[in-house]
Amino acid sequence: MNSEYTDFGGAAALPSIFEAWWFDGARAEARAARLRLEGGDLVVESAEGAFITRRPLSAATISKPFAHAPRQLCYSDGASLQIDAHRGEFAAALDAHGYRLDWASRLERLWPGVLGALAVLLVSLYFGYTLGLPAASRWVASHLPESVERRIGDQVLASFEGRYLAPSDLDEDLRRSIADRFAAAAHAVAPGVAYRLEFRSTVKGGRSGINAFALPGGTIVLLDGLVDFAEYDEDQIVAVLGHELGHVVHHHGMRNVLSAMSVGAVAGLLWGDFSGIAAQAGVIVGVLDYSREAEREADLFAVQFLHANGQSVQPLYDFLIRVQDELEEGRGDMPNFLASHPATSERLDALAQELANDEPEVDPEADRLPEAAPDPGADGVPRAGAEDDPGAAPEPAGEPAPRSSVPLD
Amino acid sequence: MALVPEADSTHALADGPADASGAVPGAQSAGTPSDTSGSAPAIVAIDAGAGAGAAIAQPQPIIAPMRVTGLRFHGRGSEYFRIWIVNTLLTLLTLGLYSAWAKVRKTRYFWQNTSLDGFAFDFHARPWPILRGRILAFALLLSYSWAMDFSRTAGLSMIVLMCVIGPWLFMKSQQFKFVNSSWRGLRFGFEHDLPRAYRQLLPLLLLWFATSIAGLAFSAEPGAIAVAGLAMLVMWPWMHHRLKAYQHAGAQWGELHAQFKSCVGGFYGTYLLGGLLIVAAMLPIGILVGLASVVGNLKRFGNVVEVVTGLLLVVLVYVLTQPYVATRLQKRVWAATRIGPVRFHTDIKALRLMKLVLVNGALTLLTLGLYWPFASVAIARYRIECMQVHAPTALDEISAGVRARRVDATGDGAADAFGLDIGL
Repeated sequence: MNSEYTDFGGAAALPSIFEAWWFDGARAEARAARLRLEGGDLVVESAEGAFITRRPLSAATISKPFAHAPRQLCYSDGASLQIDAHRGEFAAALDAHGYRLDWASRLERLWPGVLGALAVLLVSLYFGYTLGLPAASRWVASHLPESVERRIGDQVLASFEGRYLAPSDLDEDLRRSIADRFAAAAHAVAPGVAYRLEFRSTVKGGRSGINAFALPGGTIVLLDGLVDFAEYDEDQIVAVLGHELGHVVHHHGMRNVLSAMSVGAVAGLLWGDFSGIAAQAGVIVGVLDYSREAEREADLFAVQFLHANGQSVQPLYDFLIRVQDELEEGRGDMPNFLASHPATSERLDALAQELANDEPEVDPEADRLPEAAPDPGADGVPRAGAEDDPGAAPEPAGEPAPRSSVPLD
Repeated sequence: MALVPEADSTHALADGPADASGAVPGAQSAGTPSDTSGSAPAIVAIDAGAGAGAAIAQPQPIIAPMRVTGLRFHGRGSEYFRIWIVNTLLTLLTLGLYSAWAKVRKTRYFWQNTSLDGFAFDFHARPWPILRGRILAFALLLSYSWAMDFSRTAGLSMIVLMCVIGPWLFMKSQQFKFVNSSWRGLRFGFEHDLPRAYRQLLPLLLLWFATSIAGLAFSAEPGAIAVAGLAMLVMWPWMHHRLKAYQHAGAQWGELHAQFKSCVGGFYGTYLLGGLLIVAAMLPIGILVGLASVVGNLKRFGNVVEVVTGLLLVVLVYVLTQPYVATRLQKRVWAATRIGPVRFHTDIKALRLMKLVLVNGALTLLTLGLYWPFASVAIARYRIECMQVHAPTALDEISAGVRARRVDATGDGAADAFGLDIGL
């Protein structure tokens, strides 16, 4: 025994010489060796007591203490040691000689620390998902140059063209009429918002054409199937387009792209190791939730849109009733965009509430819709013929209006 | 495994290096036949080129039976869970940057808990090269997908770039992985032979990109894409075999170089069997769907039928056929590999692996991923402990004489510049 070991009280009782395998790094021969720590150095002797080497402990890369793995020490010249027995005592001896585990390893070794880490992980996932990510994607989407957004939207449209979309078969006059009415209405509620209305039909044998959608960069695609479904009721069609304009104003397309990317990255991080499919499923579920939220926002915008044009929400309500009837009939060609939308009944409830509010002098307390409008009155006079007060949507006191931060030009 | 029941580390230390394999050549496999359960005796007999009778009788000096040593895995789910939680949290909080450190911690846990003949493996990679490699891979992936959308010229030039640097990158990733792994104090390695890398891998890359090239160069002409797709389908087993051959033949341990005997026929056979399995399983489903469309109003249930058949197909391919094909290929690949006088064998069973993957996958899904560390330890244990090393004499005897590779700066040294994870 080395006299130096008497320096640290109780440790003297510990074995201070450890059996080990010594590898010189030049050959794979395993030499049975004895190892001791001496003044910050590692001294290795053969089993017979012949001196092999003396090296500073600090130069060794020491493996972490795992419950059932031998401890390995290795030096940059390739020499290494494997310690099988008395690993607990060896760890204590290392500690006594000033070797410290890094803090992540220390955290891993303690269950309270691990449970704390788990709690922090769950909390940060929860808040990241509910607050952080939506806020970040909204900020990025509204600060991204419009050209980038438009470029992405154009790419998406180009990839649909021919595969799902075909030129519209609608009558030229009808198209112009819809486009003009929508342009006037859009100008009234959100002047300066750049949008582009495109008429398309679906390719033969393709999916249901009862749809209209907004792409990043302001392109709104209206499918013939929806016009037909609405029985050419222009009020209803323009109301639906108002909903789509809501997606444009709120940059929902871009925000969806961004949040899908972020959710994908996090899901890949959490489950990618396990299964790429599981990670994908996580993305789909996660993004659907955001998508439903976006639909609610767009519905709210449609309400403002209609109000700004002196209309009630009746046409939008009627359209959704049609959709609900269609769903209840359970026809095979149900509108395929509904999976990403909130339950139609929920949307109808919100609109019914709004309809009730459309009655003049109705108590605004009854309004369940908390979102503030980008005040249409502030941006010039609504088009001629508007009868109502366009600023009908009340702004609830005390609650910041996140939507008003969306630039309208 | 049964042949090295006492490969336990403490025991190995007490008895000296040669204990587990036995000091007397042949004593273990021939002298204690009752210990050899499982398929090990069969392998012994095959490798010895003699019937079971030779194994039971005292070994003839001419026919030296192979000594079988199993790999052991000592990891525990509860221990890895703690590492995983800390890794995941830190990776999330650093927006992914910590993933390189996490990778090092995770790989060290698995390697240091794996042992052969009483000696543990080790993993020496540093996090910074891994981070550099990940950033490079991310940039490449991003510019690849961006170029594909941007224009035909950009897409084609990106494919050309991938073909030009691909083999070099893959060789580098192999080197990084091997050079940073060690056993018995000697590093593994991977051949630094750039021309060979291009000869072996460039055809694979060209085939891999065939559909993209057809799509870009022939303006998405369906015929051209179909031809390219068909070519890829037909060539797939050949491609997979060539990749495995490259990976296994290039491996080194110390100065020993691995050899790989072609088994491309076995690859075709296995893939064909897997394909037949899917067809055979799809047939009843197809008949059922056909019946349903005749009997009932299919249009009404159109979506349901679509979803159900889709799910069934996923289950068939991923849960049943894929593990079956993968395990059979693994067996073939390891049987074709040798390093010096040492051969390999894996006892992995498709059904057992399937069950393991299903149960652990279900538990992982039910716990939203929290069970994953336990699952990955359980699966790793099975995979690792199925591996056997067959050697004509004691592994310790063979190993002791193996010298380290002469380190040259352009090879191993440069391999450490960045670490790419190409998990193939």
